This record gives sequence, structure tokens and C-alpha cells, in this order.
Amino acid sequence: MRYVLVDRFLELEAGRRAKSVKCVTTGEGFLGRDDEYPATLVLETILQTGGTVARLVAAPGTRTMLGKVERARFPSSARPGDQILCEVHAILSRPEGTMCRGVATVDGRVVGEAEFMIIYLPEALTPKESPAAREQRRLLWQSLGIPWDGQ
Amino acid sequence: MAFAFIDRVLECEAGERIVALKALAFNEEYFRDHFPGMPVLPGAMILEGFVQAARQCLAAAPGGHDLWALVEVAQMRFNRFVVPGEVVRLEVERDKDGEGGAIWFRGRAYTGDEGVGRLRFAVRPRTSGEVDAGGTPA
Amino acid sequence: MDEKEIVSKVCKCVATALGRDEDEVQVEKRLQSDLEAESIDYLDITFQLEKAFGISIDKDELFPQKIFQDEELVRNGVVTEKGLRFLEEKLPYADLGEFKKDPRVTRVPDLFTVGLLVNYVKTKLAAS
Repeated sequence: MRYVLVDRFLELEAGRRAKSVKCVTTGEGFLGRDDEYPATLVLETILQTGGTVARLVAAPGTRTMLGKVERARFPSSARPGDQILCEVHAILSRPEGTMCRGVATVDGRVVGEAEFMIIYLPEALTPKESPAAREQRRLLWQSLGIPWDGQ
Repeated sequence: MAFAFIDRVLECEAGERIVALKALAFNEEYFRDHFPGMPVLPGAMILEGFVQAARQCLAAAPGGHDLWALVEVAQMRFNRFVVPGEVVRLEVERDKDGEGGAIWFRGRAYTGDEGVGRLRFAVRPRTSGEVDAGGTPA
Repeated sequence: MDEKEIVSKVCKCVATALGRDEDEVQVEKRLQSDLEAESIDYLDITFQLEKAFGISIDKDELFPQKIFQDEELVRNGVVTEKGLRFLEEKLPYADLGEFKKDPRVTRVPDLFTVGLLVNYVKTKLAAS
């Protein structure tokens, strides 16, 4: 199972907000009993969407990481064939991180909502990324429609 | 279960408490994307480990079952990266009961003696047809 | 905003950031020793205070990391004269009297009580 849990960005405003879609399919190997799609992955879609919003305004020389999930709720579940629409807004931004709120829906039904904190960690404190890995990341961003900031 | 994340159960007090292990191998595919060139265990995957452990704990109780859906998460935080080659110990303990048949748990993750993350979360019985019914919140 | 309201709002911020019940949070409680705050929580508290009081808090203004990193401010695990002046300047609303008697750097986190946050917010609101 791969871990790119956003298929496409519909809208993306650096540091402010984004709207993304994620399709749920049996093809990913994530399904549990009763074809249940894990709520944890709905959360991850919200986090990856917010992470991208925050990443685009991060200071050079930092990596964007999840700091904390304050609260998340999953009122209903998603299942194969669903297209999840995910909307995330930055509530507050600081040099050290961004606080975001996100909602994921399927046909207007809420499948997940979360308030979370994305932090900017100095690269020195993270494992080093190789040039090849960086190129791979650039291509991935390109295919998802995320502007590449050269970092 | 197709998506099994727990490798071993060390201790289990049925319905109350469970200690489980998740070993992290470089070969696990999600490390390719999280992140390219910098494999670290995603927070949502640690959460998945906690939820699966809680399910096993509840299933072990008399008359228990493992059809539980994650409904809420509170205060999930991580102190440091967890990387391939490490084994994470997940300690899950039942907390108070919530609304609509929900059960809250407290979870702590360790590598060795070092705490790497903690959270509170709630699960609720999954009823068949729940999704088709439009999934009204508990 | 009166003192009582500030105290209540600060307690609420701390409770939210640390995942505590509000009745567990009182002014004399130390963030780290009593309420188990971890590094990530200080940033969360900063966010919560900004949101609750509509104030803007500069990086390192409320929780100055420099005291733990600068060799001139701490020597052999003890906060130097210069370090004490740094703390006085950075945290004018903190009561350093007790700390000065035993200025080990490991005791610095204990300066950060809920009461200190209340005093900080009062200072901040008065200045705005």
C-alpha cells in the first residue's frame, strides 16, 4: 500500500486553504472487514491536504510535519467507490507552525473532520533527503498539481 | 483482515487493556511516500495500530466482537520520529464510556522505554447498513 | 477584561492544549511538572492564547528557547548572571525570586506556570 492519500488538488492557496479529492478503492489494499475503509486514512487525507497548504509557506530549510491532532471526529464511514472531497483551512499561522481545520465529505455527508497542528522542523533535525528522493518528490508534487517551490 | 497492522499481542486483559507490538520494516510500502527519502512512521498509522489493538482487546471479552469503528480522536501528539528498524509498543487502556455506545481508550506508544506518542480515542460498534443509512453521528 | 475572566480563559487554553479537564488546571500549576506539557504543547498553548485573546505572540517571546541553547546564558547547568538578566528582560512578569536562590537550568521549565501565562496575557493586553 502506497501512502499518497490525495489524488488531486482542486484548489490550493498557499498558507490559506485547499480543496482536494481522494478516491476510495479496493485497489489500495487498505480495506478491513465489511469493506470498511479505515477512518485513520480519512484523517490522513485531511492531514496531507493541510500539510501541503502549510508546506507552501514554510521557511526554507525546514520540513513540514504533523505536530498534533487536537481533535478528530468520524461521524460516518467511506467505502469503495466513494470520492472524498476534502477542504482544509489554516486557522492560525506562526513561524513555527500552522493550525488547520479540515472536513472530509462524500456527497455532502461528513466522513471526517479534524483540527490539527502542522509544524516546521529545521532540516537539521530530520533525516537527510537524497537528490534522487527529492526528484521523486518533485515529480509527485507535479502530478498532484502542487507548485514546486524548489525546496 | 486485509489491512492488519499489529504484529504481536504481548498482554491482553480482555475488554480492558492490551499491549501490542508493531515492527517497522523498510520494505513496508507506505514508507516510500512518507516521506520520499525520509521514511518515518505516519501518525495516522500509529493511530491505526491503536485502533486495531483496541478492537482485539474488545473482541477478547466474553461475547465480544471486533466490529468497532473509530469515531473520535483527542490530543494525539508525537515526540519524535519513529523509523524503520524500530519496534513500537502500543499500550491501550480502556477509559470512560462515551455517548451512543462509544468506548474511550487512552493509548501510549513506546520504543523501548521512551514514550514516542500518546492520545485518547473512541470506538463505537459498527452496525451493518450504517453507511447506507447516511451515517448519522452518535 | 477583568482578572477573573483572563484567568478562566487562560485555564481553558491550557486545558485544551494539554488535553486536560478544566478543573485540573489552576494558576499555581506548573506546565511541565504538574501538567505534563511536552515541547509540542508550548506551541499549542501559544496558538490557543493568540486565538482566545486576539493577541499576536512573537516567536520565542513567551517561551524563549535561547536560555537552553546559549552557552553564555548557562554554564555547567547553572544559569549565569547574564542568563538571569536575559530571563528578567524576556519574562518581566515572572517571579524569579525563588529561582535565583537555586538557578539550575533544569528548574527553568518550572517558572512556566499557568499563573505566569495569566501575567503575560495581562501585560500583553495592557500594552495593546
